[in-house]
Amino acid sequence: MPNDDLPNWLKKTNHLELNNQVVKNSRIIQINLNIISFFIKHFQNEPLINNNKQSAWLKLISMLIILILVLCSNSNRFIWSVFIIILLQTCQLSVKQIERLGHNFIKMFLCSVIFVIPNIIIGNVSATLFFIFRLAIVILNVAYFLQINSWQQIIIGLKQLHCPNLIILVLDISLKYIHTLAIFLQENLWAVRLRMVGKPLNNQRIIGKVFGQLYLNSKKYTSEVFNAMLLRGYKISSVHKSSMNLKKADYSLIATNLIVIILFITIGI
Amino acid sequence: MFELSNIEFLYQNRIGLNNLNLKINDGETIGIMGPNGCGKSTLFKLLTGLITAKDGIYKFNNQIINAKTIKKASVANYLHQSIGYVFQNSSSQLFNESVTAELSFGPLQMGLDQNEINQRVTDCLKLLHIEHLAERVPYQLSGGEQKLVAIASVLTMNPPIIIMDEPFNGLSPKYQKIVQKILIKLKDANKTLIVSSHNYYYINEVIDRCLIFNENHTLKNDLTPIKIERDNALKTSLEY
Repeated sequence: MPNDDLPNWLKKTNHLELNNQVVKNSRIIQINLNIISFFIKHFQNEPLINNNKQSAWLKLISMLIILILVLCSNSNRFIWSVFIIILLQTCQLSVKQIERLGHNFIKMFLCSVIFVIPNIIIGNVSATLFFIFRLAIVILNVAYFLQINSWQQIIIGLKQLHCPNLIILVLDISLKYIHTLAIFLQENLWAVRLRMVGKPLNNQRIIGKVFGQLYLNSKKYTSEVFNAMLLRGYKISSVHKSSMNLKKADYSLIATNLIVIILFITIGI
Repeated sequence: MFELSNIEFLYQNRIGLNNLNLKINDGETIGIMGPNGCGKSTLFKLLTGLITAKDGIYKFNNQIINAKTIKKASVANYLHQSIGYVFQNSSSQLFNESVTAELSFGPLQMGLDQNEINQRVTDCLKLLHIEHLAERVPYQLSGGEQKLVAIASVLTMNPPIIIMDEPFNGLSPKYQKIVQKILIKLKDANKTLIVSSHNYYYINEVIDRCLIFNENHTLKNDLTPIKIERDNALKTSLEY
């Protein structure tokens, strides 16, 4: 018969005093927690998608066309023209969307321009400046595309473009579960932090344990989701094929693309 | 002990806690009830300093806990050593390679000597009737077993305040009774307990007060079990 009484040490209640002496804490856990919190916040941000009625597949193709043509062109005039076209498109967005687009553009541009700047010292200045300008247009185009499309719309676009189902499935599950796993990782790090009292931790060991847990749990989650999908009749080769129909709103986008292509042929090469 | 005034917490644009005013004294046993998503877990995370309020003042033993003060290692250590927290989702609380390692992690951090740690681990395994799990990997345990290990890992640190987020979830009736008995004994040992549950009859013998939240993330009622017993309509709404 097991003894159900509390052990003596557990019967004692020690009320602690706030000790103001300097205690060293494991900064790595806090840094990781901050990164994860930022990541979760980012995923919880509801995208400010406007009532853009254009087809997802066409928006994807349009973005790729502009991207390829800008990268293939060496003409300043062509890049300026594309810049004006993107700005005109941006004018259709709401103030909040433009704010967010600007914010995202600056972040992405600063991150990428760092790698180009050294070329000003070691290479040709005018060529580098042109390259930076071209990079800015590419990033602006991508930022605009991300502003008018949710991840779900991008997935629909890929489906309409007959992208392999397996790639779409992996992308879809990853996008949905990355948030779940981030929350799991945050809770795991919280659990470490709550018991992180006194002695400094062996950081590498703790991080190894936490990421080991994350790997095992992500494996479990993914197989559980896939089994749940199979049980509800999911087949990798989808029965319903999404069609590439053109809508009224698509013609303005087609016209924009045609203008960009004509500009490329006339002044871009 | 805990003093919360006009606490507001937001998850992006979604309300987590709305104008919460609350005082919990030393040695009190509090039950927290309310519908899903009403802010019970948010309150626990706030009390443990894992999240901080957007507005309002939270004081723990007269020490203000906010985004600035919790960054101080001395304040964070004081709070975390004083409060033991059992998560709602126990699988994310366990990160060690074995149940024994999991239970000894906290006391090891507290700098206790090895004999004391071994004693605490053995006692807690016995107390929760999980000696057979000692060498198992926490990841491979069932949900209920993980919950028991999570409870044991908090008890080994012997904190004066214990917060449990739905500790009866996933447990078999046998283990529900064991946890219930442990809670009563912890109350007798003058620990401060804050326990959430969807079933009033798991906690009615333990609690001094029951805080009932509503869908608007607001504290609707702060009642003693005697008052709940007298109010038939309320009692029925808390019965399952």
